[in-house]
Amino acid sequence: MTGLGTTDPFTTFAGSVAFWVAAVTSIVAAYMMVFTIRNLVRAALALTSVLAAVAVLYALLGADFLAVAQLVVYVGAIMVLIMFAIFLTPGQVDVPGLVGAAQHAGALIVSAAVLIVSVIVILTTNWNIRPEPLNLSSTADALGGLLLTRYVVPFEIASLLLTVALIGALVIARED
Amino acid sequence: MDFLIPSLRHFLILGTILFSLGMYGVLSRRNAIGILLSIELMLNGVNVLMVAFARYINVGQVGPELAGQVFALFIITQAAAEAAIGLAIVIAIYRQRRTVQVDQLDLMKG
Repeated sequence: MTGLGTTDPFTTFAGSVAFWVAAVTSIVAAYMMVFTIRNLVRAALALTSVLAAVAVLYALLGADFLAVAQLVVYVGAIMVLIMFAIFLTPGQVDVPGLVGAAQHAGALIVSAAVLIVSVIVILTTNWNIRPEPLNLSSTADALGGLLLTRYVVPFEIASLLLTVALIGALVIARED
Repeated sequence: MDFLIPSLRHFLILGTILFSLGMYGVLSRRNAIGILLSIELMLNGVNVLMVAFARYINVGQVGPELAGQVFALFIITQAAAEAAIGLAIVIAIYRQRRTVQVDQLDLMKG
């Protein structure tokens, strides 16, 4: 059985079209979320579009487990959490969301500088690209093996982090 | 039309654009929840880079070729923890101050 990683999707026309659809969707939705949308609920929906498009990109890159995890954790859980927080803070949804013109310009300069420098680095670096794409029928079993052998300490720390976050969120947000 | 065929640089530039847009959102939003949304955008930009590196970069040995995907997995885990804690803090602040505008939260200003 051929999985997502066994053939290179970008040698086919459909694969390239899928990449460009997902890429343009994510960039346009992110641009709208940051620049044009004031309403927080709509901004959260735009972010959901970005996250779904990124999940498509993961699938195209052969990361099938990550694509599913992205959909389940981000689109399913985190966005619902953010929606709850938006609705639990009434009167804050439609307030002018952006700061004054000076900080506006400063933010634009800083982020444009980061973008330009990074793009120059990306285009000028001579990347050591592997001759053939990753040859795995599924990444889930390989990822599971890595998490319990080479990355077992970060894995345990991550589970501790989630426990601490769970208890901390309860303690911080409870009524007293 | 070679540039239309996706390669490593396409994914890197896409991730960088998402990261920069998120950084602009963090710096220009006034609502604390809006800032958290933008942070999620930045984390996703980095994740795209990680997964693209895992697919394309030649690491020379068999073991660590999925390292980028493992890192992306840890970033997703950390984003879940960060969203839970951050939104709990936002709600606690709202309960006390009746606002989540970061420029009005100047309690510690000297």
